[in-house]
Amino acid sequence: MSFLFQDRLTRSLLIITVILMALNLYTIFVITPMVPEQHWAQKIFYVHVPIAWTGFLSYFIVMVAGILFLVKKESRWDRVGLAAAEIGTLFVILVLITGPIWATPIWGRPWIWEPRLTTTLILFLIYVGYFMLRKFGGHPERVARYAAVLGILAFIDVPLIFYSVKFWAPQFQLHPQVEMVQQPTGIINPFFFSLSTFTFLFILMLRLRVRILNFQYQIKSNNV
Amino acid sequence: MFTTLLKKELFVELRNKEVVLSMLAFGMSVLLIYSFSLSGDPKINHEMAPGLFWSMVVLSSTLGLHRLFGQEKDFDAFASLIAAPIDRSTLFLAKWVSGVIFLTITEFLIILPFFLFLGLSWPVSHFQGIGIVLLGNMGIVAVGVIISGLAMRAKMSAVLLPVLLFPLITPLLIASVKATTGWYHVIPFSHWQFWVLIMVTYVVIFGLAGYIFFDHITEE
Amino acid sequence: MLTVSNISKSFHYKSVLKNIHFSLSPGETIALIGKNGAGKSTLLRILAKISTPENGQVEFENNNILTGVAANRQGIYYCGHAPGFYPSLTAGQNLNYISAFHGCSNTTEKISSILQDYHLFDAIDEPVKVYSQGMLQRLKLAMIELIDWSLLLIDEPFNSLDMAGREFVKNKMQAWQNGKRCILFVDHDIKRALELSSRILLLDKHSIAMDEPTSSPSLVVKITEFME
Repeated sequence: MSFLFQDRLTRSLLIITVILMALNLYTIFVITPMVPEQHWAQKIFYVHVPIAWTGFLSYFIVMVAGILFLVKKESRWDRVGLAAAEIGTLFVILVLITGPIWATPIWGRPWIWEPRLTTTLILFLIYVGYFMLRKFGGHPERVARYAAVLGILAFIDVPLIFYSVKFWAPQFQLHPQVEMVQQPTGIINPFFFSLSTFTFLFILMLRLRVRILNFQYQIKSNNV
Repeated sequence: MFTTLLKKELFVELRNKEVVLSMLAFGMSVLLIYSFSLSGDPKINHEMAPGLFWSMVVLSSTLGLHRLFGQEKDFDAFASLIAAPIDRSTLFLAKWVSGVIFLTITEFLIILPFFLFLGLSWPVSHFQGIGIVLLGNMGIVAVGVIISGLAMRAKMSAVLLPVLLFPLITPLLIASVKATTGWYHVIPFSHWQFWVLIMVTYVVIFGLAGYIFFDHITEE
Repeated sequence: MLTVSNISKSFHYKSVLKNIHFSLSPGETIALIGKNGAGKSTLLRILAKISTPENGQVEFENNNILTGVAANRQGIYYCGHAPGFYPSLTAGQNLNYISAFHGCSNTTEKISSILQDYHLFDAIDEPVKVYSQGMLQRLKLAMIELIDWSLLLIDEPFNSLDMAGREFVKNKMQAWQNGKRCILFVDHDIKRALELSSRILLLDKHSIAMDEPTSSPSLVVKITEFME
């Protein structure tokens, strides 16, 4: 474990993230106001949306890492892409769990094809395919190129997926949207604090996971 | 060189008919399943016809797309192709155009049974419908050629292809169904032109993506 | 004619080729030899741009063939291990299309004449999927006659051939060399490789362990030591 936190930057990042997360949880459970109609269910909002943001940020990193890998042909970008894909998929699974938990008391049903949640579901399914490609695509050197292309295709598909789902069946998608600009400061400030906390968490997780993958690569490539 | 490649694709298919026949056979099986799974009420079938058509096309296209590269895998003809001084993007274009041709031929052959088995009324106008179908085919095959190229050398390539393809073409599927509904149910174009725009955008983006990235997925 | 610099390739994190450097000149016939798994076929496939190396550069007639335009590879012909044909097409159709991919057009008469020369004329209308291994090997070699190549990369040209077939191919390889072309071939028969080539490249432990002209003294002894 010590090699993971061997440098000062990672140790500092860990400490900052732990403190921020502790403060974040305290803020969510104690400080944030209780919304009259939604009670405790509303507090999932402070976790669900930042997790979704982090998931999409991860997939954006997968795309960028894919482009850099194809251009520079350096294997470290493949490892960054893989790490970001793993973290992104973990967060996306959490979104798909917290979304219906929140939706049930608020909208009366766990699933109503809400555009953002649906886009998340489709991206999750694309990444199920991504990991299958990683596993069955052949030798890692070739799979790295394939995964880079798939990561790029997946992210450029996101706006198309979102807009096509948004206008697909509006009669079944009537639900109150949380419009951020209309929220009072008592809600919006903790929200942005939670967003920053989860972003720090993502950076820490990415850094650690890339370090592990680099270490694995060194072991495998030296073990001729 | 594009013409030579396209002629080769068409000629190989003419010889063994693997792509069209596999899509046709599977499409007919799917149609049979629809016929028995639905209530048989022509009104409901009329309502659902665009969705049924496109889901049938998407499902059967996976077999055709798999064979598009499969026949080059058998004797490693693909190595001869990529070892030649041919621009790989041109190869993608040839696969794309030939794939669209094969899928369109399959749809042409299956459309009459589709209307007959589901008790559907024949559409009033044809040109808009043909245009929508061609656009949809172009989108499916553009992504399909890329994914088929990725899956070609993989283990479980027949499973990997639909698993990768279906989520990626969701926006195209939604837009194709919506546009086809607008045309088939004789709704004014202004109500569904947005979906045609989505289809065109999809075709342009993924056509370009295939043109740019195909080189990276052809090599071992 | 061909300059290979710093080529490296791995499969499953295991190095198959490491920092390969060599050059080829017109008029040379070079035998690429080595033990099984040394990376000979992989090297040929990289030079044919079928396989991507992790790093390195290959220049053909001073043009980069790995990252440059496809036209930079005009003049290179790769004849691999596998048949490389469309199984449902006949010999004539395959020869026609594959030579078209290389920018060469051949008349039906020429194709028929080549097939006759390679004892394949009787099967001219059969799809190649019914051909035997020996017939497929002869067809691959017939293909070489129809391409306007200056660098031939050929992987085990004597595979699946009987004694008469092997003699036939030996004569052909000697005839193909016209002083301006370069042939790089893989062979497991050291004696035959030395007979046909002007230079030996020996791959061992992922790199070029020996690069010597065949006229070099005690070459056979050195090669035997390596191979053991």
